[in-house]
Amino acid sequence: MLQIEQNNLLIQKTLNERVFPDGEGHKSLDRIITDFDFTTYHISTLPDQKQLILVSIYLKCWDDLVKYGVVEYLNGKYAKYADVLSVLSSKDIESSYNYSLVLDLSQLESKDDEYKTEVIDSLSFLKRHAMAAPFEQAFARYDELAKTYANANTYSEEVQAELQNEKVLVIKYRGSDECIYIKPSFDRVTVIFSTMFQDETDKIFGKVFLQEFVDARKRSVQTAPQVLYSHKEAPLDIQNVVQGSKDDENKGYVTFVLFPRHLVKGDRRDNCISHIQFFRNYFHYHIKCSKAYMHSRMRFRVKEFLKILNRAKPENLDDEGKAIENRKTASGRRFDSGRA
Amino acid sequence: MEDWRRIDIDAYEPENHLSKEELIPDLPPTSQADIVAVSKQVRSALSSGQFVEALALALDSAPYIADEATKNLHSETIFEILCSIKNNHNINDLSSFVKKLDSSQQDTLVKYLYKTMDTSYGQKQGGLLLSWFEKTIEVTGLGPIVRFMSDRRTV
Amino acid sequence: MSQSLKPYLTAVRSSLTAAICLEDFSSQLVERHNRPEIEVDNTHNPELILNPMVIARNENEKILIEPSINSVRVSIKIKQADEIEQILVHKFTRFLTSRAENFFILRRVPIKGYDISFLITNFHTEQMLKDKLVDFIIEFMEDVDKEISEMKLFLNARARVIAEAYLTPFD
Repeated sequence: MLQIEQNNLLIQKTLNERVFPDGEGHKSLDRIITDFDFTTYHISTLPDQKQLILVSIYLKCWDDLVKYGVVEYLNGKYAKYADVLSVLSSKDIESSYNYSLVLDLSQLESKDDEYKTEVIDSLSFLKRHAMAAPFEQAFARYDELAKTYANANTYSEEVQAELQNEKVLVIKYRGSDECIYIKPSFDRVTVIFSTMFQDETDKIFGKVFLQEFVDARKRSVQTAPQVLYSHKEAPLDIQNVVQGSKDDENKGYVTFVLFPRHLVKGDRRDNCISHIQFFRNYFHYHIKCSKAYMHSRMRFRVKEFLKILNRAKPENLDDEGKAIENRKTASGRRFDSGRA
Repeated sequence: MEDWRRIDIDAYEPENHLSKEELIPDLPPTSQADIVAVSKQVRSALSSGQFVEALALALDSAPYIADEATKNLHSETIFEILCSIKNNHNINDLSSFVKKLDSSQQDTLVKYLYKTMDTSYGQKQGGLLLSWFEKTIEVTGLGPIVRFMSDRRTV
Repeated sequence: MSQSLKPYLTAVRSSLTAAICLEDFSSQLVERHNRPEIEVDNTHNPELILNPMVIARNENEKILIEPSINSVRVSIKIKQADEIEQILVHKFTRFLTSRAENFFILRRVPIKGYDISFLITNFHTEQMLKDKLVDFIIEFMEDVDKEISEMKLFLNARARVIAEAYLTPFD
């Protein structure tokens, strides 16, 4: 499993069970599902109205997302399913969650299967969509800038200074030490992740990985976004907006420079957004995988060493370290031990 | 009587324990001037190509009772000889040099090999010392190693 | 096998063979005690400790053998060329030392300046064959180097695959 799935499988499964029920009738449902980056979903049936399913999401960085228009964006995303899916207004949102939707099964029942699946899928992408809002906004800003400066001399100092002062979007998706910074410009969008490494091993492994990210573009994937890595020191673009600790040995900054070819409107832009917001999860997931592999390797090696050491014992031991009994000579006779 | 558990019984039998000082062999001390003189002799022997003579001379005049500086000076001298022999000969000829030494010289050679491997300049030339060591042990067997461990005449 | 590895291992083998020559020896200081003398503070009995040996391949790869009358302590410094190897060696030795009870002769804490230490006592040599113990240490030294460099290669290869897998879908 090289890539991490962007939708939430549990939501998908839970809703599938509901929408395509095996048995009769609607049972009540109350499930809390967790996702990456301290995200929590709550899927429950409304009391006394078991055909209505309430889906709520909590995101750690919701306050940041609101600034970048997440509510409008999500409302837009789910508007096309309006006859089965209603978005709750801010006063009705389930307490301790950030965003709630109600799925009306009685309405959905009459639709064809394809439509049902589509609704479920789009709900399982809830987190992805929420996180996409600031990216969409930044990319829209890029469109604007690209148009404004299309015929301008972009090398002139005024333009450069203006671009330098472009507002940076900050999403504190895992608390203030791990943020996403997005800075649009007229010919690119810079996305910077700040990330913390738990321990020395993570840090070193991370460095090796990121070095390969940096090199991959030069070597094989020429069309990929440019990747830069800096350890401890924040990149110039975001130095005055950096959140959290500034002088931490375990902090690293990964910069992705997205070029116009990645920002083409439509599928490619969507794909780019879903892909880049999962960078941290992907990255740390693979660090952990490597550690696990190293661990199993070391376990194997230790076993091998033990075998070698056990050879030093004079009893007749086989490779597993068990005593071999009843050894026979070539003619089939047994060794008699204990007798002189 | 006072608390008899606390009596230092060892004090009544001073013969039972050896002190560090008593382990130092009873040999005349070597002065730094002697070693400097040896190193000069060695250099002139080396420059005239008398490798075996230089090596034998240096090994015979090893300072056992001397201060650290003197000892280090001598081990540097020996290191120099080893380097220059290695540089001027094929690696397979090293055993012939070892064979020309008598057994106490061979023992001393092993002592110096171990000592030099513990120094930073020796570790830079690890390969050289190790090939000397290999050739020496091929000729002498394990004897010199055991004598190195147990000999209190340290170099 | 690189050029200086063979003489290095030969030197270690002959030194170890000479050093592992142990006998049962009760403490001269404490009645009814029998301790590995190399591990005891021996200011009282300096005669029980023999001269320690250092065998070095280079500054980063060496072995310290400290013999005494009833025990030998062998400490190995494993090659560490860069940060990655350092962390791998550290992890690996920690992994080993946390399983020290299976390894009879493994010391839980290495001597300062070295990565891993073994302590061989007369009780070990009574139960195990000395030559095979020496074999074990030699094989250990060989395999550790091999393992570390393999792990490093693997890590780099994996990083490359992952980076490419992540960056390719952008287009």
